Amino acid sequence: MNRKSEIKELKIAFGGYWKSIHPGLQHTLVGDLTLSNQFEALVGVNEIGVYVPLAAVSWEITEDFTKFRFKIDTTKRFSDGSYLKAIDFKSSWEQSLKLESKSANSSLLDILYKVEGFEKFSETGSISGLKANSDDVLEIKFSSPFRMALEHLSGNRYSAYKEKVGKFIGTGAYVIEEIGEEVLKLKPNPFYENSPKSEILLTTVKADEVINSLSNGTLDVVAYVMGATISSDFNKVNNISTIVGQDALHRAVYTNNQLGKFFSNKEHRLALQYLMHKFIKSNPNYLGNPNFTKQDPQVYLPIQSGRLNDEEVVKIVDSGKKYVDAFIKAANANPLILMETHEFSLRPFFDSIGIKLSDKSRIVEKSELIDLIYRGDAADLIPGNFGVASGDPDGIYHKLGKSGAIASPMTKNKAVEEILEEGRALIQKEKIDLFYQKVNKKILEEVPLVHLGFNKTIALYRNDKVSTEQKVLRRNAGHLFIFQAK
Amino acid sequence: MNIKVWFDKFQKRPLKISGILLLLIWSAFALKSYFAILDAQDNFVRNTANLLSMSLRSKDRVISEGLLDALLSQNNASFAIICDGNKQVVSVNSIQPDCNIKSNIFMRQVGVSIPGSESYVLKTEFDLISIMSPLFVILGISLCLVVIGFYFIYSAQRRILEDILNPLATQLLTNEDLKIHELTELRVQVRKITSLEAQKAVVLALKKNNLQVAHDIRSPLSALNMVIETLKDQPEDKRLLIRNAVQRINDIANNLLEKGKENKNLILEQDDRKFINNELLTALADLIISEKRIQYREKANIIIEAELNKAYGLFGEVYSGELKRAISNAINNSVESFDDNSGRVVVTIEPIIENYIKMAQISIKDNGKGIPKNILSKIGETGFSFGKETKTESGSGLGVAHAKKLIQDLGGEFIIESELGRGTEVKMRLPLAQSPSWFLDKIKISKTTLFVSVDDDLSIHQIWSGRLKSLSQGKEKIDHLSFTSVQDFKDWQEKENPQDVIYLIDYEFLNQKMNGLELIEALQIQNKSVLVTSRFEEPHVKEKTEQLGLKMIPKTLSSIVPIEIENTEKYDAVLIDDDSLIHMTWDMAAKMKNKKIIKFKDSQSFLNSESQIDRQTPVYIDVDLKGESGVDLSRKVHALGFHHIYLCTGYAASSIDKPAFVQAILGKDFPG
Repeated sequence: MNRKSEIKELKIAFGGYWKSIHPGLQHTLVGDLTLSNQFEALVGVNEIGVYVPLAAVSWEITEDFTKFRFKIDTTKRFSDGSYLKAIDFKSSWEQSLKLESKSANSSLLDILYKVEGFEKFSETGSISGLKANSDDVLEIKFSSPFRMALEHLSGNRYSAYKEKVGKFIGTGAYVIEEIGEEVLKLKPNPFYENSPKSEILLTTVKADEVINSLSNGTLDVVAYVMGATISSDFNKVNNISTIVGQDALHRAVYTNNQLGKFFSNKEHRLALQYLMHKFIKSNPNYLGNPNFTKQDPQVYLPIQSGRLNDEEVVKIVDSGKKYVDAFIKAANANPLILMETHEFSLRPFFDSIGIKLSDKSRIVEKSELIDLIYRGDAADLIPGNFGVASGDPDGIYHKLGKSGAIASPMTKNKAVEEILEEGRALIQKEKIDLFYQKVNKKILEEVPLVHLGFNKTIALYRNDKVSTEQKVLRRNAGHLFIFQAK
Repeated sequence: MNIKVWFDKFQKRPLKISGILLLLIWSAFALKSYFAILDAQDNFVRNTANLLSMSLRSKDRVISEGLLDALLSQNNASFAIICDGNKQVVSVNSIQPDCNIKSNIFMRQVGVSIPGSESYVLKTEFDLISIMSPLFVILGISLCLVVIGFYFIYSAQRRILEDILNPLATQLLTNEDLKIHELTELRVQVRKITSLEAQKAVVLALKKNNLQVAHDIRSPLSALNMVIETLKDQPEDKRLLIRNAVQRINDIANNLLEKGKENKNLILEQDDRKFINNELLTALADLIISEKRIQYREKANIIIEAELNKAYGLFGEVYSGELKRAISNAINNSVESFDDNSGRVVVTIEPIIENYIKMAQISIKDNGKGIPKNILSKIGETGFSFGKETKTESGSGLGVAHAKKLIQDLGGEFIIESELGRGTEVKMRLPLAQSPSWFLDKIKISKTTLFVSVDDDLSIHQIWSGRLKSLSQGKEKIDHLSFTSVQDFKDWQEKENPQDVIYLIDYEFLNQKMNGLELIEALQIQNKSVLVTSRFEEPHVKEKTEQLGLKMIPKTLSSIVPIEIENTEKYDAVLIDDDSLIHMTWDMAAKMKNKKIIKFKDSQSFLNSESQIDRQTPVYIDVDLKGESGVDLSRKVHALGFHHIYLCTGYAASSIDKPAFVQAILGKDFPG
């Protein structure tokens, strides 16, 4: 029996589009999950939230959080058989910085801008603070203390890759090949330890087609779909099982806060924040399946550093009440342009408060919506989601920071950017919670975006065709080899 | 037991018991495991709550979620939630929006307050079915094995019935192939055994018939033997004719008796030396004499006679087979010593006293050519043979040597006396054994005793009648009653119930309701009865006889059993002393003390009268009798059955060696 005949194929779909499968250009949560199957970051986070070796077998961090030294696992091999070296990380990251960014900022910028010598990168094409001391030692020297560097470096965009005949290859479990529009083929990397036994045909699926696609066998697994969009009907189908994930997505409405735009007026933003939470509270199912999503004005999860008590938050949100009348009057005078997908609409909300939207408002596809968010000039309002970062409250920097990897021009806010930048310099753990409560408060007061709540991702699979040991889908972990064909 | 019962008992019942035990063991194990698992779950939740307490204090969401993940992944928990009242704060794998989740029989919820927090509770739900599933799998496998076991047993039972027993029922009686090799073999074996059994049954029937005929002949034969003794006034030739005819009938009866013994061949094939028995020598010799007569019956001029009249009650501890062979060889040797195939061999068994010891002597005496003196001394040496041309089986010289060794081994003496031209006598002397407890040495009656014989054979009554008549010649007549019917006897006995009586009762009554032993037991007359039977050697007869405390007389010996009319007298002392003065002294002393004594001056006069003296009487013997030794006489007296023997002397007692059987050595004064 030849090896090929032993390999089975699993048909898996994500609930969203990955956009780019280049590590340096990745700018969506689904993109990050997809890349985790082909590329490996320096470190990973295990199931109990502890940093564990991935491409690096060990690391050293100076007490002032300015110098990080990684010992690279040189036994790892790319899918062409070559061995991983420290220089692969330096060259990958520097090359990515030279690519045209898909977001407002380069995907890697939110870390690399703090590396010593970054300011001369445009001239030299190299970052002096990023060094490969030997085949197996990578050293990163930051210009100022950077306590959360390790957490950010666990992101897949900071993986090492190689370009081979126009394709990018990594040291991860699979080799990803784009075989059609929104269709990827994931083949096992033969040089990966415990190489997977199944090939994967990876596609996307719309939320309302998930149950049917699984029932009729078009798909074996729907992974990392936004739980809010899935009805609980899957419980009625015998051969569909579910894995419920962690709170992985922020639900938000991006307001266009740029100069000259309607929501450049902070009072309008505060009014919108007040009205939306009031509306959601009186319509519990508005955000979708309540089993997987919940309303929350704060950008920090319960029991996370920076979390404020509910009473204080209510007080800040309610402060927008006094601007409601002016907001409605102004909105009706200048009809707002709303761009949204069919999965979640703000129209019921605006209808409820008697605001008529601009005729330019329309329903768009998810991929276009992402482009609109990063362009920042086409809409006044865009409801969207972005990934919840891990524990450190600096995670919100990705979205709202000055050099945030997924920052949108729409939601830029100087006060928020400044306080987030200040937070990055903190190295005393005991001060973090208190400081980020200020950040949280600033976000609620400045309303760079209206934070609606959190959403769990879920995976659904045909238990007659697929087996898995996984019980929880962890945020930012998109490994598909957790699913095995039966 | 049929096949179903066998399967129920030896297959299904053990399996059922095993199944029940298995279930009980499993139940105990499952309960223990169940509670151990619950305990482990509670502990794990408590430990997680303690760890959560720290992560919540440090507001570390990732660690908190990790702890919940760990709880979930290691304990078959379906979800883990941190609740604040009814509100979920952190949930892992829950599809419920709030904390209001109810337990059910399949799911167990555990809630533990998180230390250090005011209202946070860690809630977990465990899937009990999945926890217990390995145990149910074990139970399932075990029950499956039991079910499979039952299936195989039922299947085996059915197959045995269908494939073996049912065909067997029809095929066994035919020659059809039974299909099963072992059964075919078994059929062959069974047929062989059946055939052998049938043959054996025929042989047994023949033997039984032989025994019956022999038994029936015995009684009239005994009568004839007795009658011969009374034919002294008949001419010699007639007496010889009758005697030969009787002997011939006796031989036929003995031959039938030997053939009728079921284990005869078996015994002869075994090592004779393995069995030493207390044998009635008369019966043993009678059989071998008959065998010899049959062996030599074609030689009309060879006469083999038996003189057994004095042999009553002589028992010896002997190897019966070997002793028979020795007698047989001796007779053969006698016959071979006849030059012209004519001659006379007389086999005599009688008691003798040799060296003061009572012994039985078996004498085989012929009137053949005799043995030269120079040869006579060599006879009995191994390998020496006399009078044989060729060394056949009986002429190897081993016969006499073997017989000699046998007799010597038995503590006896083997003597050959011969005179050339006149004949040879072989004497085999054997120590006498005590007669068995069942054997009656002699019939003792008084002059007034009523003699009652019960036998379905009239000839036996005639024997008793003749014996009593000869006893009472010239004296008072002894009353004799005879019964051939058990019932008649029973009726008479129950009516009369005489006190001074002796019953001589046969064992076997043809066509009557009970045997002699049953009759004796039924009438409770065992203390006045004697069983007279030719079946005295049969173990169950002996056993019952001993159980009742009875004595037996072999029926063939009824013509020679001593009958004694008690005439002994009790004395206070017997004196044997040649001194007349001592006699006078004792007479005076006895008169003064009113004692009854009897006195003798020599041994001969004592021996002439000893039979009339009670054996309990003390005997006082003078050590220095005229012409003989008092000590030697004391041995003879002891051998006659006297046990209270005293030696008397005028010298010091210490000057005489006291034999063990002598009570004491006294002076010559009147005792006591």
